Amino acid sequence: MSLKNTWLFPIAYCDAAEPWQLGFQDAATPMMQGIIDLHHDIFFFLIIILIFVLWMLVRALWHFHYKRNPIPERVVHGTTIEIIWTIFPSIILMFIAIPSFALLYSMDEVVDPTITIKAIGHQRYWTYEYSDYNSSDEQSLTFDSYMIPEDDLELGQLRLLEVDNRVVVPAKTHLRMIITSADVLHSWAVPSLGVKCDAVPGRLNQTSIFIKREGVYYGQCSELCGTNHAFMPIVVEAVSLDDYVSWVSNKLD
Amino acid sequence: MKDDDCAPEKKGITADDLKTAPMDWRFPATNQAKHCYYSYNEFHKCAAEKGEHDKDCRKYARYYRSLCPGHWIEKWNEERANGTFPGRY
Repeated sequence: MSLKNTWLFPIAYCDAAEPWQLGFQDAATPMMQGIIDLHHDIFFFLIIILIFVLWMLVRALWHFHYKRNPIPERVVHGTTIEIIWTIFPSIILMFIAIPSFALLYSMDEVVDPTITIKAIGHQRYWTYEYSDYNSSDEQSLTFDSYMIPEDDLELGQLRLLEVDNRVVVPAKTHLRMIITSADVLHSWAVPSLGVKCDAVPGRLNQTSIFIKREGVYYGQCSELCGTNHAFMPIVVEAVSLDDYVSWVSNKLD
Repeated sequence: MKDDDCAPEKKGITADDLKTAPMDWRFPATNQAKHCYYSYNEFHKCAAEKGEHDKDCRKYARYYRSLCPGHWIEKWNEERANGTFPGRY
């Protein structure tokens, strides 16, 4: 968003879940934009099919009511209608499948990343490792990210979503997330980034992220992992590249 | 990769240091566990042949440190020290 536009139309993005929210959170990655667009594309067909089927149902119930139409029709076969109602749904399915597969495979595409960040799920917190800058096997930039309990929240902080240590990443940079777990299944998910990746012990699931704008993005563990599953949120803070470099430098010192 | 990268006193980074293990077409799957394990073994193979501080070996060291979780590396290093690591090197 250019400075001119934000001055004219101040914008507050929706990057966290809201009470009674029905729609999507605002997209911050091309992937999430693609997901939202696909959803809208499919809804076009969905609404048309819904209206058509409802119309057929109501029409049949109305016209063929036993009082209005005491002698039932004896039609048992119609080749033309069979062909139409086979071909037509196939075409609709194709129109849904093409953009759907295009999106699915573009999600698997891994662009050569600039940064690798590891998210390791634990019962009940996430550990993040930034090991690109290590010069030995000793982890130099590793931290745990715990939820801030309700009693410790400050004004404006989000309940059950805020963490003590956020994942700081640069915006407009290709990131590789490596997601794994040290105990049970977890899932690292951030709706605004269009990411939901299971954390499986023994597997290193890779997913790539390209965040388009700076901001703070909230997500939650999305695979039932036990009693405190709801209390291990994820917060991603996207900053400019320069700020990221100085953040890492500070952390390494 | 600069020569002073291994010096322990060097702490801060610059924008030039922002690099990581590239996408490897031998490991196209979502699961990168083999990529990590391969890089770890390749480093030790390289270290056995050329010595730990060789430029090529440091590349593999960077890759496996970027890809492998810390507790995996720790476990493998322990196994190597005990002589129970299943790899050849």
